[in-house]
Amino acid sequence: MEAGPLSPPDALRGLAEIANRDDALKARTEGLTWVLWGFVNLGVAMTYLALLPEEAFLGAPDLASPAVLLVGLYPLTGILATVGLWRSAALSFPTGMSFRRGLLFFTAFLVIVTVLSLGFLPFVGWEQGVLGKSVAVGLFLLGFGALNPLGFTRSGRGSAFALGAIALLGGAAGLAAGLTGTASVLLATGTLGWAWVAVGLWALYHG
Amino acid sequence: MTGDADLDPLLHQPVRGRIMAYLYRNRQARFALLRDALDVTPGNLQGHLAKLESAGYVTSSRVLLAMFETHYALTPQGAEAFRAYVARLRALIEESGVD
Repeated sequence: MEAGPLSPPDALRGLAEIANRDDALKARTEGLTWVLWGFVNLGVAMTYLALLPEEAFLGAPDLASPAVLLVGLYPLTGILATVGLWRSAALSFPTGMSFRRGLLFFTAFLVIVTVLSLGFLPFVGWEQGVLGKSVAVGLFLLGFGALNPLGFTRSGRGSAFALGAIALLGGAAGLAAGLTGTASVLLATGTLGWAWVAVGLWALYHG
Repeated sequence: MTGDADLDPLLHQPVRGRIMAYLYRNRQARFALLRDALDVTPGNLQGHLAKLESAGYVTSSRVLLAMFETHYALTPQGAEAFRAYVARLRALIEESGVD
């Protein structure tokens, strides 16, 4: 259907409004965020697998172990990189992401996921703790997609739902199959690492 | 004031004008992104894109990355037509003294 007469000022205003939208850049920033956190998850899993014997996955972690300390560097780097990424994007479109707000947001993300993961421990035990973490991250992402605290695009919210479902189903399937040790870490690596990288790359090149 | 004299009738339509503005700014866009940015129905968008494409203003390509999607971009002819359209709009506003 054709619209009625359009005055030149109205036409120009409409063009300026749409030309100022940066949805593509926003979608790519979201994609890069997924890729970053995919690598964080992969880094955590690979470090555990490389530095710790399988028995280490079957009990409570030794918090003073170099591997545990090294693992902590990944989320820390992930937070700083993500905040930096969104602050850079703020030069082109309003992200509302100051350094302080970003730090608070992503630290809250880690705290929520950690609390949820620990909450699952009484039910799954340390030997399946990583699968409990998968379920926790899945729940978090479903909540993230529903509440959309960072104002993601429709595609970005769709990605959050898809990744949340993958993590949730992956973790639940591993728990149902009784996976422990290396097998559980590898499953979690796939659902929390490679899936995020794949979805992020898709958004990055498809945005 | 309608001020549509000498304006490209293909571009002087809200949705098509915005499609051109979006593609001019972003160089190219996939269908879903255009639909979200313009907040129009897929059928409506498809119809306007088809008109722009048949006029030679827009080109489309099917891209396979995990799944097939159609990407749209301005042709040089489309970019030139858009620049001329915007220049004409500005001139009309200036002539009429309307801000």
